[in-house]
Amino acid sequence: MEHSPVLILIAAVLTNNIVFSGFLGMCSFIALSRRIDTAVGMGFAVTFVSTFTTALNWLIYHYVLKHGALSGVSFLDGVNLEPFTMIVFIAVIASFVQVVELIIQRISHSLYQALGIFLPLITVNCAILGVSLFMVIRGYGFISSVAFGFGSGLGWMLAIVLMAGLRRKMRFSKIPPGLEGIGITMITTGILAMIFMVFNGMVRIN
Amino acid sequence: MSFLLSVLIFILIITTLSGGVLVFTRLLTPKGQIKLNINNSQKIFSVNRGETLLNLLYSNSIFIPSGCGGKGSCGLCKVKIISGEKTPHPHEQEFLSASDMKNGVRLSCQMKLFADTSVEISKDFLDAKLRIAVLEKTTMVTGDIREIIFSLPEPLYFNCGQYIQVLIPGDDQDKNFRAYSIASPSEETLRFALNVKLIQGGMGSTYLHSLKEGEQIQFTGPYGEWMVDASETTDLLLVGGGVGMAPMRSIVQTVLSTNPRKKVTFFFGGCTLNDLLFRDDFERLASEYKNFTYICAVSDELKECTERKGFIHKAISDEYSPPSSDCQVFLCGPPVMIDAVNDVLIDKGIEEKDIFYDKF
Repeated sequence: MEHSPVLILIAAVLTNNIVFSGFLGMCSFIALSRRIDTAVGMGFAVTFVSTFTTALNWLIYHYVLKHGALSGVSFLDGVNLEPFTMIVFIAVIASFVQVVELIIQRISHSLYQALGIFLPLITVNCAILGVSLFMVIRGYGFISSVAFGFGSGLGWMLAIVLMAGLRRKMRFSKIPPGLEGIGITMITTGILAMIFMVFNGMVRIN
Repeated sequence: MSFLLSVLIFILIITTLSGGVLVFTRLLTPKGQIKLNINNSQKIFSVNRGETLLNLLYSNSIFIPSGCGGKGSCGLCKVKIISGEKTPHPHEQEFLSASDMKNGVRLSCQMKLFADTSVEISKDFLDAKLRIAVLEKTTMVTGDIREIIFSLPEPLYFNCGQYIQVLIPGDDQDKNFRAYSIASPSEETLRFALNVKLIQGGMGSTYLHSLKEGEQIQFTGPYGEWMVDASETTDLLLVGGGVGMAPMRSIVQTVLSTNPRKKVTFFFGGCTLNDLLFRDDFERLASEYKNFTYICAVSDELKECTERKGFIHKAISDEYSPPSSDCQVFLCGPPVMIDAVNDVLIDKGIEEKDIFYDKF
């Protein structure tokens, strides 16, 4: 069943949250969730990059990589680039992030402070690649893909900001010695994921 | 045939993408020169736009301290920005105090310069030069700690407890320095000792451990604000853990030989008996000098051992009573130890201004 883009956006934030249901993008999720302000900055950067790379990757996939996409040109008939999908997606994301970082650095220092410094961390963020791959697997159209990318970014931001808030509170809690830091963060993420399961009844998009 | 074509197109896509990045980098990287003004026009450099302040200072032979090689993880390379971009990045803020933030202090390794900038650097750092030392002797002290003695062509004047920065050779582009405390007494000016713990994959320690007799190192320094009060009536409390031994050895040896009536207490903690470096030396000193007390503690369970068991802050809490007169405390060791000891000392009524520490 094809969902409307709005529904896909909401689902990507709540029911199919990329962190809580896909457990993707965990490294930066754990590393940058110590402070709320860095979490917000990173969240915006992920949202920005995932929205635009999904759009770019959709275009590249449907007009170049997809089996038969190039069959319009006679001598390219039979060329199949689908096996390269993942590598091309990675290269697109990496070069996009690098170019955007350069542009931001050039045009605005305050934007660079808020967003730019997080961009290099996103180059190899699996949440971003995951979004592009899901969009292909689930066969979304262009608008739906952009909505999905945007929603996933927002979902990731929601997750990391929630986590940063919890971790700020946890700084004053008694945590068993072996579980301090990453240990308790993983457990908390698990519990948050269970809490997010209550949204399941709303809509599923996989 | 179509298989080959697919591979060709794939290569074409990747080349286009990388080419695009290169072109953008070329077009967008700020070019040209900017002015770096140090200490109110005392020195003015014309430098390339877009490099980090730390690299620019190093390439102009101004050696401010930096312990991590510009990764933003040691917080040593603080510089006060007079004009220019004063707002620190979020990840710098961990190392900056409230007054640092107000005064425009930033970590120079995290600050890229895009416009003319004026900075203020302490005079000691401006005078620091790259110097040469020759390895005289290197011996293993415990399983992973090596004592390395260097001789100097010209004297090095330092205060006990200070550190130097050793240049780790490598890629010409980067000047990588690692900080090590001097472990020898300060009246010896023509040679100095370092105690270096081997850390697997560590840049500085693997380099220093691999050096052979007669080889040269380059270093800058001395650095560090530790200054032992010369007055006889100010008691001295030293607490060290692991290789936090190094500056303490320097202080103990210096103070005992120059100020034989000053009361010195040295607490030293390790995990196992093997970690209690130079124990015999210190015990000998303790029996030789009435004003010196040496107490060590071992934190891991030991069965046949007469040593004190437990962490060093427990030992301090049990056995140390602060003097009625003035006192100075120097702490050097892992952060957990310092925090724990700090709490104990504050409980005992020692004022925070008298406690100096170095976490690593």
